Amino acid sequence: MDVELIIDGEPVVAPEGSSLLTAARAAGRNVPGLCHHDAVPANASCRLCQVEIRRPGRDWTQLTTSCDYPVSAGLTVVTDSPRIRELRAMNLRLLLRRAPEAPVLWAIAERLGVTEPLFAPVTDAPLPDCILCELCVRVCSAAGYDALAVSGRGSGKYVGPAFGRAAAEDCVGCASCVEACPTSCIAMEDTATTRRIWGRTLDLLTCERCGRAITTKAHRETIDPGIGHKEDERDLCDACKKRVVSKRLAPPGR
Amino acid sequence: MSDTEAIDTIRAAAVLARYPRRDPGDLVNILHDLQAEFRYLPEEALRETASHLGLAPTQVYGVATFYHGFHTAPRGEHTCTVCVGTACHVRGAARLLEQVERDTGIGAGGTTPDLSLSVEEVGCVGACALGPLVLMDGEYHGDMTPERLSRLMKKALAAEEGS
Ligand code: SF4
Ligand code: SF4
Ligand code: FES
Ligand code: FES
Repeated sequence: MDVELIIDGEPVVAPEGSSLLTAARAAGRNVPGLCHHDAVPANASCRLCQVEIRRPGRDWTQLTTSCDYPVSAGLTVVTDSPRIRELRAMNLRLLLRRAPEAPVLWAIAERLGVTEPLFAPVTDAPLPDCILCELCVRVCSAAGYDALAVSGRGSGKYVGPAFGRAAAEDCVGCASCVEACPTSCIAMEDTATTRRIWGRTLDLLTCERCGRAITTKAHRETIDPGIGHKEDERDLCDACKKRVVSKRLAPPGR
Repeated sequence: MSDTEAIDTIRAAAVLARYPRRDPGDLVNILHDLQAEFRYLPEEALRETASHLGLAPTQVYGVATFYHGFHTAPRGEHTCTVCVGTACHVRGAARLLEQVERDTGIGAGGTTPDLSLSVEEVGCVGACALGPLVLMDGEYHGDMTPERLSRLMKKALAAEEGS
């Protein structure tokens, strides 16, 4: 079911259950936010997506993070105001302290007129430029691997392998975490035959036809061939797979 | 698996048997029980716990390292906790810690190599009037001086050898 709400003065229709952030962005609003991914539950840790809302029948507004706030009928939402910008700027300066080199933060900084971190930047973090959004951990868990841990607390908190190990033993090298990481701080290095990630070195699987790397062998072990694909088409890259499948499915004589 | 790891696993299984419901909500209680059993949380025990509750080892490790009260490295037989809260601080907690270090060679957060003693700091235990304050194996000792602390530690450690 759809609900109707007001975003920055304009009526917007959004599917029930979606977040204010998703609805606002779908309506063309440029709301910053780094810790959110549609594939996993929100944890609202970066605090950049804050908006002002007014619930129907109330005459006061309140601030809330929009990534974990569900849309509801009659809600009035403001995605930009001096008060919001001030808050976002402060939270951004705190994030900049942890990730002073991350271009994605500086891009938002420019929009908010922020020029420097709050307090001196952290220089001894186990993973430089990590903002501890835990997207890597959440995505890895959603993919069923649970290879990464959020360890410690306070200023000693970090993401990575558990038990103080140098390598994440259950990591299959699927690269989902690298894809999801907002600050691109997860190191992954591919050679022609191997992938290094989270302290592991994993063999790459190459396309049987063109030789391009598809994913790691360990990752491939964990996935189904996919609907409509035959077992022997599993070890092909996307492009070759399309070619083979379309040939197989093409009516004879064409 | 080494012998110690195998033994850790068996001892952990005995603790876990007390939680037949396998409810992840019992995790923190289980960690308390395991720490009572081992004085710290050995890796094998955490892994057993994860499989008992159907959680990932990474999740259990995350919880175990989140709380100040849980330890993932072996702990000493005795614990000397020096209060470094504001009141105890101004009354000379630093000198107490120095004395501990002189006597045992370890500072706050450390454990002696023979696993006889662990040293900890704590920020105010709510008995400021008695400061500077030290807890030896959980027992309060107020108006502490470096000399008395030396004797206190000796006594605690000697009791161990005698028993
Ligand atoms: S690459 Fe490894 S750590 Fe990253 S999501 Fe995949 S399995 Fe998890
Ligand atoms: S490594 Fe990237 S995704 Fe993971 S917590 Fe840090 S910033 Fe977030
Ligand atoms: S995107 Fe909402 S708090 Fe990070
Ligand atoms: S500061 Fe030590 S008991 Fe309060």
